[in-house]
Amino acid sequence: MSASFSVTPRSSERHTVVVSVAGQLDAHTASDLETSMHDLIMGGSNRLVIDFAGLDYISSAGLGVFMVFIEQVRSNGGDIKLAAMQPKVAMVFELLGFQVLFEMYAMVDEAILAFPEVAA
Amino acid sequence: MIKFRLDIDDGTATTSERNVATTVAVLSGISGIAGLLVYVLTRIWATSGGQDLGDSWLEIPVWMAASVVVVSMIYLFIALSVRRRLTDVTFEPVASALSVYALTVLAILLVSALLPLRFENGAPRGWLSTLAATIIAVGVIAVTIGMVTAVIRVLITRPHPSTRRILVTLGFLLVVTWLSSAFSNDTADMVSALVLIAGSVLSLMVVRRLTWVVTLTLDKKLRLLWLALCGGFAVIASFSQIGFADDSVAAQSVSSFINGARPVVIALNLYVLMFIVRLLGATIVALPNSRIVDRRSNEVETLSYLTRLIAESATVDELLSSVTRLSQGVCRAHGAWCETYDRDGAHIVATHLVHPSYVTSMLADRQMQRIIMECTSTTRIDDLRQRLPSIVAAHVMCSIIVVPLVRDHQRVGSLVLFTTVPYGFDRDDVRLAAAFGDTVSVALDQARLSDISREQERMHREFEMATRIQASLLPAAAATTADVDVDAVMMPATEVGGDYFDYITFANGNRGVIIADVAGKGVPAALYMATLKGVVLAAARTSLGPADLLKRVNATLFGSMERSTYITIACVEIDTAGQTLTLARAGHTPAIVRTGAEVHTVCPPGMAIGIVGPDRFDGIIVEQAIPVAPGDIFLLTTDGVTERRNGSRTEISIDRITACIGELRPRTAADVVRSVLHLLDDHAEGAEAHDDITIAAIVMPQQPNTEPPPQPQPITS
Repeated sequence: MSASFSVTPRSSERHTVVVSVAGQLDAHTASDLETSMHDLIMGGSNRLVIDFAGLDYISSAGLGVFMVFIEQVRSNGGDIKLAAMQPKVAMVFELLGFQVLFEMYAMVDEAILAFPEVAA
Repeated sequence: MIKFRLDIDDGTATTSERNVATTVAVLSGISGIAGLLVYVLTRIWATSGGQDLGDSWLEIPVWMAASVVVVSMIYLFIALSVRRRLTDVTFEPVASALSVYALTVLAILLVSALLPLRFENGAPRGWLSTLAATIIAVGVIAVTIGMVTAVIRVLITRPHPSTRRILVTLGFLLVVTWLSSAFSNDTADMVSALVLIAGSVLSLMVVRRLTWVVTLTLDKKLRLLWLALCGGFAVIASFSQIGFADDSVAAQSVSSFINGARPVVIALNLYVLMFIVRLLGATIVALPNSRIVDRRSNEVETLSYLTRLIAESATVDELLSSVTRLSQGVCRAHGAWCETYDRDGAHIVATHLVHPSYVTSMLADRQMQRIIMECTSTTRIDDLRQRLPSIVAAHVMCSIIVVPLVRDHQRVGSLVLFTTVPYGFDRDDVRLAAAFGDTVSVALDQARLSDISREQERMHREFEMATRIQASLLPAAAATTADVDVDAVMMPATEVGGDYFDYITFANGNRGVIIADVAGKGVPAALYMATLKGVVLAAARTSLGPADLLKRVNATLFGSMERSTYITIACVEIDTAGQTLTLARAGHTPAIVRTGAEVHTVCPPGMAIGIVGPDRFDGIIVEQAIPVAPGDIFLLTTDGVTERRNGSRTEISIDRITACIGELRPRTAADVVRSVLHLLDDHAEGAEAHDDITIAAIVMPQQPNTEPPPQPQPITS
């Protein structure tokens, strides 16, 4: 019954990795996301953009996943930026005051461009 | 004699031992008289047969006593064998009968050969000779009857349709043999010889079923063979003394005891010899399969022992250790070990006749380990040296059997048997080892299931206790007073929840309501909930207002919480004097307020507890004052309320909740809480709650007490 959830990372400009999440992110599916994020960060990706466009629902456990990694990513000089949230999901973040912790953007491209250019 | 026996059968079948003794006494009396009669008749018979008569009157009492002894003995043998019929022929009765027979016969013959008895014309001379001759004769007759009884018992236990007929015929032939001695010597000898031949053929025929010999173990067969040889020797010895040597003491004693007794004794001994010959034959024929019989009986014993062991073993390791020992024995391996697998690799749990370090060194070889671990069924390798020529250990453990142990369809270990010679195991060993493996696998499954059920029971008990403890952490009763009406309820989704509510008193004496939701649910959330209660109670007494309280809580908890966890809190201060509610929100679901007819949500800025330190948290959180009038409703919920889903996973809309609040005509806060719960139940349609549900309601009194209460009560203490 646990609704479908998917995580699809893809590399993008400015050395960013866009992680598209879709479906329902709850206590059951949070571990999938955590594993994917962990692998990405261990693989050296520090510039993450989470594409929320396909995400219908997020629970407190799902929110916790981003908190787990944000400090590590930032200490490595990177960031996790959140983008393209549906209004309902955005409201959950805002109610919790997560906009203080994370940068949130309406568009994925916007989020990518928010990362400074790197001298390749 | 047959008539007597029938009478006795009827008489003693239902009577006690005392009655048997009485019967014996009566019988002895009768047989004493009968003995006297027989004596007189024999005398006449002997005289008519031209034999010389003895002249000692001593013979009469000796005769009578002997008759009593013989008759009583026959009766006892028959009565006992009828009363205590064997349910099955076993080795023991046959073996004991044979040994008693052989010993007694040889002893009697020895005594009769040594005693210097005087016989004249076939009759003993002098009272000593008469007595000794009578004792020898009675002994010979008694032991013959005893052996014949034993043989009959064996034959009757596994009868053939013709068994009884043949036995009766044999009895008839015996009578003929006895009577024929009345004729002249030549005729008697001829008749006796014919009858003996017929009797031997018949007695060979009657011994048909000796299948029980096949099932004896090798040891018992050898003993039986030995005893049968002794018995045969005794029979032949008695033939040589009684049958062929006419002038031997034994022969003359028997002849003088009862006229014609000698051919009867010879005939009976011949029948016994036939039985012994058949027994010898059967035993010798059955000897070659003894190993198989031994093996089978050993297997059955071991498997039944294994079953008992499984029931009695306290731990799995203990069981595996016993199984290793047992399987080594029954498969005739030179050694055995048992290993189990887990995430850390293989562990040797038991070894038998081989040192653990030796096994460890052998398993250190990857090829060897693969051979063992990759077996899916019981496997025999006849010559390990061919498979692994490089391994030294393989030269010692030449052939092995690997038995996989399975629990819950997963390979959890192996039982390995080895011999130090190649081709040391046969197919039976593999089959037996596989049976061991299956039995142990079943036992492991049972152990696992009982572990699981024990664990579940323990968890269940602990959760029940946790539920009670958590319930005791929440206020038991509504904190309604004259100037404010408050009520709340918390319903965890699982046994324990991460939601929390409480009634608090601030430093200024104003009372307040706090509601909190720990991210996640279940035990971790419940532990944070309990911690939170302590922090809230400690901070509330010195807090100046809701925002101040939340700042203090965040300052205390930040850094001591798991990174992925946070707590959302809403806290409201009730100022009854000024008719104002002051709300602070740390990331929590917005509050719902009904002022007059208007319902709206209140959502002052603030972020969840435990995400950022005081430096950032304190700057964000803002209190919001809400002016309220009598009859106004203020509702705090957790997201378990606003996200309550029905069977089709549709969340209840916040509009339905606000609409419900708008329509309420409540009198008390308890009514509000009940109404919201009703609404949730209506929506859920029985679907299971996925999150804890907490509802706290405040209703401003219709006739407010404008004067402040004289002593604010510390509700939460």
